Amino acid sequence: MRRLLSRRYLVASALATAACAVVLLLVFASPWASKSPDSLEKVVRDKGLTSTESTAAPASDYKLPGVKNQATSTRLSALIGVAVTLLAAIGLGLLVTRLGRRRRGTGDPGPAAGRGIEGGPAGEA
Amino acid sequence: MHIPDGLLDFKTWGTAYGLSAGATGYALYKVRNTLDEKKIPLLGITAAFIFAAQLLNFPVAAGVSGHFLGAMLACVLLGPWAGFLVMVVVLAIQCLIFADGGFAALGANIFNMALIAGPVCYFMFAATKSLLNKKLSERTSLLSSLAFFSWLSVVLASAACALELSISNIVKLSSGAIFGPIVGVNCVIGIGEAVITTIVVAVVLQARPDLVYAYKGDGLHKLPIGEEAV
Repeated sequence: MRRLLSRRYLVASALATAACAVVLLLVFASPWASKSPDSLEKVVRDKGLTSTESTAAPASDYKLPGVKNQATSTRLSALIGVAVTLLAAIGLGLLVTRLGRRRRGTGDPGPAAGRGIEGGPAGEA
Repeated sequence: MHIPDGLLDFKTWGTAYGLSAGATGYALYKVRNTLDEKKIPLLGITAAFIFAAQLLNFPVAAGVSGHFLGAMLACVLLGPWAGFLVMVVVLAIQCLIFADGGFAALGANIFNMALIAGPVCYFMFAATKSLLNKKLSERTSLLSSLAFFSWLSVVLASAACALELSISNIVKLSSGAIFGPIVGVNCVIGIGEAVITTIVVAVVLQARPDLVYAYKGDGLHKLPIGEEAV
């Protein structure tokens, strides 16, 4: 059981590390994204339509105001965006599950408990 | 295909806000009772990955770019309604902090990229997967239906975007002039979507199949006695 648990833990850590590495790589690569318009922006440009840009957003078009270097500005805003997204999703998850548990009137961890790895990748015929 | 402000008229963006708000309420209600607390870190990592991946526009055709969407990825890993909420979080942050997509158009963007590309495509995917599962292994039927429906999710989301523009009284263009370039380009972007989504899910399925909501396995998601899902 100990060995199973530790293998499970190792795999989970490896997955989480890989995910973080990929996300950081994407953040680092963000200044090299294609600058071409996307399909909708292209229609807007080609047909001479006008859209209004929001000026209220703090980091419009993924550029931090006050950072001169374009690449640094994009990378920093990408990093901030990733952090805010991570925290917002985790916060929402915590809030929603807490409310659900209060509604059910139980303090137990619910279906989270007792999930084993016995199933594994099922080798079906 | 984040719609900026100024392209949709009030009836269009207002209706879209209503539908998206309804879907968000329903998703919160569903997730409240079904989300496993141990899945919360996965919720965060999936949202962060989708945000980061959406930053990287890749060239699609001459002078046009596109990026990953991720709605089907979120739904397959976390379930349709938790996946929908992840997309809502990503789209809201892109809109509010980075002005990516207009504020009035946020409802329409949620409708297209979170609801149509998420739960709507997920339920078609789930039906196809269980049909295929009669002949093929669950793994094969999951990954092959996922490849197709993640492609379709991008195409349908772009079609919904084109539909909103054409029913809006502001854009005076023929439907063909709107649908053609938008849906056409997204048929190509969908291929990238399918490749990325299928590879990521295949890797997670190999390492930790219990982290893939759509994969039922044999007793993989068995709940303790008395905790049967309702």
